[in-house]
Amino acid sequence: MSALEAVANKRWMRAMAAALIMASTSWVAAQTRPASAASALTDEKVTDPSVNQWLARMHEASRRRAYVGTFVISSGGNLSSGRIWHACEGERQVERVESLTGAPRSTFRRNDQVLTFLSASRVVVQERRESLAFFQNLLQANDSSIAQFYALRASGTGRVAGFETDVLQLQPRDGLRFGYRVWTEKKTGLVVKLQTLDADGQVLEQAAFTELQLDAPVSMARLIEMMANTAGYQVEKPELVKAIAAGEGWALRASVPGFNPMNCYKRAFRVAGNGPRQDTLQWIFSDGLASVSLFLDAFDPRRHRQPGAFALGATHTLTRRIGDWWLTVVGEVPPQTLLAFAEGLERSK
Amino acid sequence: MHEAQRHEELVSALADGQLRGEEFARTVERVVRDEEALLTWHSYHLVGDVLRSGETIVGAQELAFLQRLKHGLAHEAPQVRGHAASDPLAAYPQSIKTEATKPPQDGAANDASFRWKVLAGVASMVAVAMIGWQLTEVQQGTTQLAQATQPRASPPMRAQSGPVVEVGSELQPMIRDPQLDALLAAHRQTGGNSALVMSAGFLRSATFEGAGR
Repeated sequence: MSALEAVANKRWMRAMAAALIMASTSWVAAQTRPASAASALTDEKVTDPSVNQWLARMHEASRRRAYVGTFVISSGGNLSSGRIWHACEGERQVERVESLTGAPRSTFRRNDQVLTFLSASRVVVQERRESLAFFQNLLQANDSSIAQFYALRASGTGRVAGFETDVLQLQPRDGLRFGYRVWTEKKTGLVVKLQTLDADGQVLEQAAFTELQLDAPVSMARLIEMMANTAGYQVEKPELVKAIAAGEGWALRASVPGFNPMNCYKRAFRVAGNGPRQDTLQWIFSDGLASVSLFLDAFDPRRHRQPGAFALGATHTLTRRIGDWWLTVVGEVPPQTLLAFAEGLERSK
Repeated sequence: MHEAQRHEELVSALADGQLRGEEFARTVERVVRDEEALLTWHSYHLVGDVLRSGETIVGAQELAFLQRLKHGLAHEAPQVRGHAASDPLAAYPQSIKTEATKPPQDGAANDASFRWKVLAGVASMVAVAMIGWQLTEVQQGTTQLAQATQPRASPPMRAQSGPVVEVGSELQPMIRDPQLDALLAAHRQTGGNSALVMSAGFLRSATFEGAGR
């Protein structure tokens, strides 16, 4: 074999050095599909329960596998890379993510509890991710809303991080959401690559494993032990209080198709570094695949100047003034979706 | 071993996906900083691409394009690439496969050249500690919203409504705003998950580099 051929034979790995990454939901392809879900889809308006089943299987597969991998995420000209260790035992999940780019930090997740160790500042941030349970429940309930707004289709095969994969595409049925292309490892269904696509099929954001070891001997006990070791760190908990949007005086005149309210919080942000804390309301919506946050805080002419629209990969942001309030809408959706939220929001008291 | 040879081997290992941890980070940095390392990295990909896929590779142009991207955002001409058909949905009903919509192109319009964006991303990442938001414009009004809610007959198609500037399509001003970064971090921590990317959302926030962190 010539040196040139040897180089060529490594091409798939090379491509992955440049590729991006990630995810870890999965689809157990080997499982058969329940006959009850075999209804034909002949009308765009008809929902297809198999989309949910596919998503649920992807999710379940990721929960039932132990793995170690290096992933890369590319979004809007920013590149992030990290290494993940994932262990599972029954319903219990423990993950560790070491950031390989930017400021050094380690993030641990034990079910919905998340700790982020910031070694430079010797601070550990403690959070709870309620949304993880929300989507799990959504899939288990076999809610048809996702299929109503996205269509699923096969899109060939590919090779990612050395694994043979099936490629599937989730296509939005309207212009209010992006599409997704998903690479799932053939045998296990683990997602090894994910792209977010705009209406023209352009890749806005991409995440992929550059290296992956499935069924790796990851010690859950060891991860839990590392997570619990906060000695020498100052533990901080974000000031996050559950709230009700209507109770805070906000309502949507017209709902945005497909997007349902998930949660609402009041949280405090520090203004300008060491400045005073500013209470902000965060109202979160999701269509099952994409989410949108509406942030509302008191208008301050020193901080809130021109309304505008911004993009960072698949994430878009819209800012505008509403009376005595300043609205910032953030989501992995097209700008027109943010505009729909902004146009529909009204002060109810 | 000469240092230059050692560096070349590291670049090769990077291209092969064999680097981990600090070595990975240092080599990525070197590829971005060092013109020669970048050329080596590019050559490995180019040779592999030509021998394995037979695709037409316009290496010099792409490399020049990359150089331009290192100094800011730019756009690139879409490329369409077909790939072998296979049916991972064989176990699923015809309903999935017989969508009432026209099948889209198999590859993303910019899939073939996306790797260059990635490297450009590395350049941005190294040069910029904070997030650079791309300034766009949104046309106000309900007409565009009404159009956006219409079913899409044959995706992919251009979003009818249009806010105007599409990401990556034009060179737009970049802004840095710690407040936006903090809100983005909050969005990703409490809202940025989904049924599709529950774990991906977690990874994304875990690797998020912004003022909020």
